[in-house]
Amino acid sequence: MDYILATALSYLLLYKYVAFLTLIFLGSFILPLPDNLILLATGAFASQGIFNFPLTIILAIVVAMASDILGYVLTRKYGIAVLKMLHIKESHVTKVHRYVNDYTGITIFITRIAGPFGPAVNFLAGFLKVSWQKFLLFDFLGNLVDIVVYMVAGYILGNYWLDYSGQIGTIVAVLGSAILIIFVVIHLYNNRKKIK
Amino acid sequence: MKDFWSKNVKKLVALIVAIAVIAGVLSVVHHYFPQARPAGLSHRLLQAFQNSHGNLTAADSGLIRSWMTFDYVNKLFKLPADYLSGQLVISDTHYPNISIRTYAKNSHLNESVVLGEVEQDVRSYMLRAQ
Repeated sequence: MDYILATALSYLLLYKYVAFLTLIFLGSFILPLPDNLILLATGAFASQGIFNFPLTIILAIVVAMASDILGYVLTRKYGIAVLKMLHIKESHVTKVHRYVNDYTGITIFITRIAGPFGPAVNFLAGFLKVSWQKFLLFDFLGNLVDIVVYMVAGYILGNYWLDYSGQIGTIVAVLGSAILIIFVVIHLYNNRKKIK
Repeated sequence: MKDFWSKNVKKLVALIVAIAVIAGVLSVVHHYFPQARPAGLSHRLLQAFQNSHGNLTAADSGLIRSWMTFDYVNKLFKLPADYLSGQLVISDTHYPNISIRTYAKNSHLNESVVLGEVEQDVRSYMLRAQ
């Protein structure tokens, strides 16, 4: 187990909700924290009576969304200045503009669940001025699925959550990839129909 | 607002259908291709579910990790609050709200040695309790 996760788990046990909310916020905003494993562990801790299960799910969704919205708002309002601060070249953003434009909703949804690109997509969505409704809707759905799946899995696995953490991560990544592939296929099919 | 929903309703439906299709395919594979299931996975998951709220035994002392606090270990194994501090002669004022790793570091002890001692003490207590 890596040092960051071990430290995060110790803090979770010591400072409970304050640590949980801080870790979720920072992980969703910019830091590469193992958020999904933290959710899995918190689900297990909830099954042991250390956290309140429904309250933790609600708080996690609210804080993860608040953090995502902050990233989105920053680049939506300050755009290039924020990108420069983050050492992201504007040309890199415009290159992916077209791709993201086609798959905005699903990109936001998938990056909440799998992979480390959630914070980058928030910044990008703000920079590309993705509509508020679209961002909030797919951000909510992605966070809801991610948080509920990991926390319920942790709650069910309880004392043995660590033994299955690898398998759970793989299953979620495979499901995320499958959803993405289905969307790409649908998109390509629609494009082909338009050309005809 | 209306425009937003009319534009995205197809994507939302597709998303829900995609999740449902994947869940359906997985359940069909699970039902009709038992050889594709990891050996004993259902049984292990069921066992894990049953144990998740059950009492731990001496054999479970291997679950202890150095990131765990003494307070957590006490709760997990239902140990008296002063049992581990007595066994390990812990004088750290942060006990039990300190992780095994931090305690070992603060006391200039080897982390894995302390972890091994905690496991041993928990195992002994649980065997006596059984």
